[in-house]
Amino acid sequence: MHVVQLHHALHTLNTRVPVYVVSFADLPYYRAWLNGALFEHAPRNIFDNTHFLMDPYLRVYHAYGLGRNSFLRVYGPRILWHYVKLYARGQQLPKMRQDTLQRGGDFVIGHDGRLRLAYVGKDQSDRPKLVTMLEALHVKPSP
Amino acid sequence: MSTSAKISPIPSVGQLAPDFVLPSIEGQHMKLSASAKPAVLVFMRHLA
Repeated sequence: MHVVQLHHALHTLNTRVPVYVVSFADLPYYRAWLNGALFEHAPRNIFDNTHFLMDPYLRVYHAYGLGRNSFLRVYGPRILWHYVKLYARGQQLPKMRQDTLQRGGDFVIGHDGRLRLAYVGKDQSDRPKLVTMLEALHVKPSP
Repeated sequence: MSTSAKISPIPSVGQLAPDFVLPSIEGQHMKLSASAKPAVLVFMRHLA
């Protein structure tokens, strides 16, 4: 998971920059995700400098140019085939409570308040490389 | 969930980061321009 890898890297490199994780999920779902999916994958102390923010009306997403992806880009043949196989095996298809087409993105902001990195992925799995983010923070990645 | 707001272009590197105030899950309000920097902003997709 991208956000866990990022925090591991910042923690390992002892880089105490604030991280703002923004979600459009409602509060109960956000909390459940944090306590389940996120904190199960990583020790809590690596999130000490992290603020978990809520943007349910997507105002800030939109201010950063983050709209929605197309259905075909998100649910390409690979994903649809995966769902067909699940269905054929009699398994339950995942229920999505949220807008799965909403785009995400990663931004690094410098001391002067200007952007050093602005990355919006091509599809739902596309995130910037960690080394790219660390370079934007002017942190030297480990060899 | 409203999606009717106008979507701005993706801000470019070198541009001032668009300022905002958002509530945290603890109920505090965070204003970007008043926060420590450098900083990282991660906008999540759907949470799974």
